[in-house]
Amino acid sequence: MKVSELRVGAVEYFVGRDGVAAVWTDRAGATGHAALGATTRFLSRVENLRDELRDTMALARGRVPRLREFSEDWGRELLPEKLLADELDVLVIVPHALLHDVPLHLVRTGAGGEPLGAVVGITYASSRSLFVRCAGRNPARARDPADWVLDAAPVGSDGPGSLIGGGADVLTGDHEPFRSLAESLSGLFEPDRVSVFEAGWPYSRSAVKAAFRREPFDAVCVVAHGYTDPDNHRMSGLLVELDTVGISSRAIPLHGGRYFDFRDLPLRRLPPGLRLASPTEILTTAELEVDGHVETQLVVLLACSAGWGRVVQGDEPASLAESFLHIGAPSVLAPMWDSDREPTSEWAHQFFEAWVDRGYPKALAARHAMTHMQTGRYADHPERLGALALKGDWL
Amino acid sequence: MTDQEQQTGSVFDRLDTLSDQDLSTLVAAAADVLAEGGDDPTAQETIEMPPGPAARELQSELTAAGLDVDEAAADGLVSDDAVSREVALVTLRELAKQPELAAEIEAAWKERSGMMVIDGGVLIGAALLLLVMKLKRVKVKDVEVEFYEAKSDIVNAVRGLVGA
Repeated sequence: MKVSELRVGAVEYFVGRDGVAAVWTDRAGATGHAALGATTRFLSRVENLRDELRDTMALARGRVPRLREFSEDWGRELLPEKLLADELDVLVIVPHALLHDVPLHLVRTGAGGEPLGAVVGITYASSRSLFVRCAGRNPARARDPADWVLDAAPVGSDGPGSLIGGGADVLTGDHEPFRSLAESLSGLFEPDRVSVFEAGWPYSRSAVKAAFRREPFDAVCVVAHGYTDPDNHRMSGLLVELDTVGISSRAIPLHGGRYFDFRDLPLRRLPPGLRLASPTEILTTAELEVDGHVETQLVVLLACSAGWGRVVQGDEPASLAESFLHIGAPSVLAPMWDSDREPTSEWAHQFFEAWVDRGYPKALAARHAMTHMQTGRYADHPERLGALALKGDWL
Repeated sequence: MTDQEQQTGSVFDRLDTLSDQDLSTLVAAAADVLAEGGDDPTAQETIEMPPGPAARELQSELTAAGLDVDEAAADGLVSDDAVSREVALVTLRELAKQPELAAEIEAAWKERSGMMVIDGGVLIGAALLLLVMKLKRVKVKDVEVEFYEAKSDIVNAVRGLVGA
């Protein structure tokens, strides 16, 4: 099958005071709309679901009755029947208001009870305009879809071939498992086009940001703990190692070939109460937005809850994943809630295998990963098989 | 015993060597198991109680159990990291005497440890102690664990910590 033959659709939600509605575009480009129900019908159920997905202990223990209820029962009310009947390959979901962060990819819609994400390749975009911007900057869009054949071997020089990444586990101080995860994911790329931050050097704010300033890599992979600020999501971020060489200086070009050196300080101190094994600093979303620009096809954030964020003004979910979409990434892969290390690693490997080795567009690679997880030991664990989700462009 | 053998043994055998983060995770796991199977419908609120009210409630529970704890000592149990760690260790050691409960707590701890998550990291030893003081029994799978004896032993151990 060629990419030009894929059946792509989109659904955009509107949550008003009285009701929830959806507008969709089917594979032929025709549009339709449906009223899905009263807002009050969904409000408390979504709030309860969200509370459950923020309960790390409940997630760790697989005690997720609300997620199961959503997945097996009322979640289906949020999906227009006509859209499901369209047998799409790819579905772009544009949520609104309370529906941001609702894991529609876990709603069981398949003939055999498979979750939607295992039936159709899904990507989320917080708004239509963000989706258009992500698609517009996606290097993969330069390929001719009529020449892009899925499962062709070899994929060829047009496919993703390079990765830059690193990992830091400041919680335990043993960074090797996180670094190894980044390295094992890099194993699918061309060895001479891979750069994984070496052990022995701190994976710091400077290191992460410097990776963005290097020549473009097809994938940027960051494995770290995330911190969610309960009051100000702009101050949420990635917990990375403190730079042992001190505060680095960066030069800003001024007029006439002169430069101004500024000290690259973090935008916030560590929150009190965190007990970390390594000297740590935070790369905040606010810092990313003022001092980060990334040119790549995909950013992979294997950091807890990196894909979740409180909805702020303008119906924007203020998450790390969203910030990366704002600073240039066309697509981001990130967990929507706190995730378990093993299934996260397994999901990501399956995704990369499909994206890099088989030439799948990202959304289809996500479907491949979901299908694999659905048939494995996590089949009855929606909280584990559905944590990772694609945001931004699907191609 | 090698490091690897130590890691594969029960977590309750190496309580003293656990890092603050690991101990904090173990306390959270124990609190979750107790709240889940306990007979107190307010258990979840107890875990999430702010330090001030928790100190007052702990003072009241310990006093009712025959331990004369003043306000400053109760505050110390809640807010002093070193004391909180000791409270956590004392409470966990007593909980570990119940095999079914210990196994369930350890399973929860392992599952929680696999998560890629940073929490507040604050030791909530006093919250665990308060939870134990409020519960009479806990159901773990099909087994009901009575808390009367454990409670009395814990109160005696806490007596040493607060100098009462």
